Amino acid sequence: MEFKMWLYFNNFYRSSFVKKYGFNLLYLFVISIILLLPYYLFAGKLYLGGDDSRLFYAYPKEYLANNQFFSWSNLSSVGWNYPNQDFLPFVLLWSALSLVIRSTVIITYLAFSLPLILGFIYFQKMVGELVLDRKNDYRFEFFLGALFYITSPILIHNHYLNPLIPIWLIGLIPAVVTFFIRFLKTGDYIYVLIAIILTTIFSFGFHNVPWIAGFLLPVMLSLAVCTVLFKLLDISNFLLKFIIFFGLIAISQSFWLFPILPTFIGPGTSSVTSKVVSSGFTNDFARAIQATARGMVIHPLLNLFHRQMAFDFNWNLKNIYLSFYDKIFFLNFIYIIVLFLGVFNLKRNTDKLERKIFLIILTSFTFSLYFFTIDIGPLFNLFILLGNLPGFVLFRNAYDKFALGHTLIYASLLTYCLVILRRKFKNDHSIYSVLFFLFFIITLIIALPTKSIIVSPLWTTHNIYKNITIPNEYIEFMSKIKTSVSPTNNILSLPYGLSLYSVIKDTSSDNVYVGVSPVVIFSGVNDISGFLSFNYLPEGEEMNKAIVNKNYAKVNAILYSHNINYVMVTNNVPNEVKKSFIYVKDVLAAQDKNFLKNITDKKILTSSNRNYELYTTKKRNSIISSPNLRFTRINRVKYELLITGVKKKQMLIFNDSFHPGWKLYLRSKIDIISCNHGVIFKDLKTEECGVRPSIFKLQDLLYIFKHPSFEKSHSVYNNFGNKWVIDPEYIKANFDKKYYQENSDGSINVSMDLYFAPQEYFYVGTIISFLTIFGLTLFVVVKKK
Amino acid sequence: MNVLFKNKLITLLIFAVCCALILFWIIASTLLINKISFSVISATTQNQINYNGNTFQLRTGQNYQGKFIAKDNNLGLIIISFEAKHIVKPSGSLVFKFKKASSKKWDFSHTYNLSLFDSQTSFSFGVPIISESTAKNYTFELSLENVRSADYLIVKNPNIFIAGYKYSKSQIFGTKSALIHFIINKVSSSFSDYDFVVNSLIFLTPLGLFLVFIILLKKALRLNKKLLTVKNLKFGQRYLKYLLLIFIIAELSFPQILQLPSSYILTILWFITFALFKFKSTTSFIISIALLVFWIFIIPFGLNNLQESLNVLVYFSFATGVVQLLIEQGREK
Repeated sequence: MEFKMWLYFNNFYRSSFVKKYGFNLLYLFVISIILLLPYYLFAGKLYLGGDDSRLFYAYPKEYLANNQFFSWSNLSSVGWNYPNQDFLPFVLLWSALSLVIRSTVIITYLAFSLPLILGFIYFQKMVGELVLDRKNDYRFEFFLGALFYITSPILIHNHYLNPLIPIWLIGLIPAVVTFFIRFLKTGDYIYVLIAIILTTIFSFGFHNVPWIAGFLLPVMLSLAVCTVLFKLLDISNFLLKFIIFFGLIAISQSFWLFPILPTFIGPGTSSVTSKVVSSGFTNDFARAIQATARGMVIHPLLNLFHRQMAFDFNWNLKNIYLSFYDKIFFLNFIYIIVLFLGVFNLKRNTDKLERKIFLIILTSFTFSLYFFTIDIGPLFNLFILLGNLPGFVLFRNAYDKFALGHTLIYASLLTYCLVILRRKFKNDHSIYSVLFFLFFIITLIIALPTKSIIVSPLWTTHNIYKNITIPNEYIEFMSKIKTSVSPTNNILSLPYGLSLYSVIKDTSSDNVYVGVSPVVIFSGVNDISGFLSFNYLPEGEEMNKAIVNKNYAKVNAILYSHNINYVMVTNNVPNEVKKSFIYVKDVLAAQDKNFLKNITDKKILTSSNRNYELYTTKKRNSIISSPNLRFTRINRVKYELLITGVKKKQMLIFNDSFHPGWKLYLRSKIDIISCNHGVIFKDLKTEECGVRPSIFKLQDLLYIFKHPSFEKSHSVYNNFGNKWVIDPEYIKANFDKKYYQENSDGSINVSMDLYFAPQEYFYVGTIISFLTIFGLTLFVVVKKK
Repeated sequence: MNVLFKNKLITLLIFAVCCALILFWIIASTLLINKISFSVISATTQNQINYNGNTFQLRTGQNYQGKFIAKDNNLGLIIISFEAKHIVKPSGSLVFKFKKASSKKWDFSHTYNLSLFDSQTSFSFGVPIISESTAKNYTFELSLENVRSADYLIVKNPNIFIAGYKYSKSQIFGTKSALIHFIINKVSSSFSDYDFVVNSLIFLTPLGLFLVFIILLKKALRLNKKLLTVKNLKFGQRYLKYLLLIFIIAELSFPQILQLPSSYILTILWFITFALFKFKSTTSFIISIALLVFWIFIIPFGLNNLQESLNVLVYFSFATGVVQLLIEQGREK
């Protein structure tokens, strides 16, 4: 019976059908499994949360409308110059897709699977370009390498436990490398164009830089070392094409590079890069490395994440080690065997150029293994020293930043080794088949705990998971806020936490969304949800102290000075979450009824099940104030102002974070802003005339040519906001009469635009990106003809 | 046939170096691996209270008790093994109590801060030295106080612990026979501990490397007949002696042999040897994989120090192989 079955299997295996379609079916099978994976993992619920919230996958239109276009950012924080237009192409694409795929679950699951599918496909294409001798069909080796790559426990733990934006690099890096090699081989610019389109959609700009650098650093070092293997002519040819390929990609990324680059050199503390290169950040490097570089090379060699770290930080991975990896780790020795057998048989089974390519990968692997591990005797101190290099602080958690690069390089190396062994054992298929089969089976075996890794309890909790359905109650409450509260205000979200996270409880379980507070995404009104909402400003610490010490006067003062005029209370945060890492114990304990009573005036909104409530604060402020001011918010970077009866110098206050990029532009035509349903701030003598939302007007491009006014008087107000002095004499002396209207008592009326000038970099960058892509497309089409 | 061993002087030198390295292994491991003082003789001791399982979770409200018969005089230490467990927020304390088995009250107790036990693999609990302890029954107890319910310690091998017998200087050096008796006891008690033996293997590395070196030297001499010329042999004899001497001094001077700076010395020596005998990259890779195999076998024992040493050796030998491979390929150009 068994013999018959074997015969049947053998006949099937050797049948022409299997030979013809077998590989393609297998290929499709793997892709289907990847597509179905999130349904198995998350059981039909959304998997959201974390530092980037992932809400743009589920709610791309809301994200696009409230967060995407501007260089001035408020995503549960005080305003700062954090341009994130790099998301724009992807969110536009995803918004379009959401019109076709209406289910938030399906579209979110697609976003989960797509990076793995792209990685699986493009990895095979990439190694296909690296193996030059194609007399044999190495599809199965490439397939196996790709499987190793996308199922690597290092990748799963590091990129899928909290699937932040860099997961797209799993597909993007092999794709770009593939097209670069094709360009290198053929000189055809179509490959540059494809790479540009892919990087425009999936690069996510600044967010991905550390992980791209984590791949590029070992590869570039390796290329530098391996120049000894090549002739000068080859090197210069390579360099030329390298510069053309990556230079054009860099130019095409101007739409996000232009807004972000000035933040490196721009003054002020309200910019993203001022945080990254700050001394605090730099000092943190050595400390962070000392605390986290606990791994050894053995586990990465066995295709496992650093074991010691899992234990030191009490990650869920520790339990998976104890229950699974520790028992089967010796199986992973197959990778080391393949690696060394490949190296031993390199010379006799590769041609000269292939050997050089192999050596580039091997050297890259040697570097990446070091960077991913760090703690290798004296090399540890070397890494600390490298921290003095500008920008190297990005690698302060090297175990994270180098994980993807290491896995990709290791997978490429092992695939090459498999190809070498296939050639080595061409006359003895049985040995190779056993090796191949073991590699395949073991790769599948070590992927078994994928669900346990990804679907793990919220850190520092035991029973709280992160897959949820956002309750209608929350969505409806956000809609109420949208209609009741002007986006010129800020909301304080309670419970006030450690980070800038908020908690949304699932409808049917204690599972929660824990991630960047999405109030602004759903309602358009920014909130302040925790310590980090203050962007490391002293107020973060002061707020915590004031809450703990029950210094309500201080709390109210901070709320007022930061234009926080509403308080939103979430009543259904599970107790286990309250004890988790997202709250500071004593700060949370002090947020009792008495606290609420002392900082709020009256309740104005309650959700259907009373889980969410909105209150006004004791004393309300206005985002902009000045005597006889009337203003309208156009968008996050633009306000239209009208000040009447300016007789003498007066102050204009803008209660958002100070940044020198905020400019006042006098208008040549005095616009009388109509204010039918305005909010009057009597004590401030200011009237807010609601919002006239407009993302972009063509005339906004003209700000780049205009001269701002009152620049010398622009200074910090109240250690936080912006202040200008409006001087009527200065206006009369320096501007034509069309810029002001003189009243009978000698006072003047002026119209002004308050505008965040660095927004212009985005427009200039977008024009350059567009021209690059358009020009290159034209070039490719003309050349083809 | 074998030029290397035909020369009596070299054979003698090799033998002497081997003996010296074995002696180095015994002395260095006895002196350096033992976390307890040199004047303490440790003895693996069976707990008369039987515990099921290989570990015991010590939580608030629970006790871990030990009962044993002292094997020697001068009982002064109880060493207990713990599993390296990271305590997230160590608070509270551990209380150690000790008494004669027959006493009703505890003779001695001491409270330790729990943070001392964070990621600890063994801990020495001191007791007032009992000069006449041989063949007497003793009891001790460990308990946790004011420790969060989430935190606990794991006692490894609760049925076995180590008792330490502390000798005074006058007792050790009092007479020649006492000294010899102490040294034999010290070495034999140390090497009767399984963990100690495995840890001590690191001090066998010089001997291993030396033997590998000799084997490779033989191979090089056999393969490269040019080396057999009198001139080259003299060159090798003259300089290799110094190289080896430097190597041994480095080993002796820096007991943590793989730490800075001796890892540099090791690497440099490695490169010189490889350059001198034109060894191929394969040799480095073989060493790397051999160490990896060894590593795989010791992982279950959790010998952190040894693993950290292997971590460096494996990477350096692998990286050396890659550099050699690049040089070999570069020559092809």
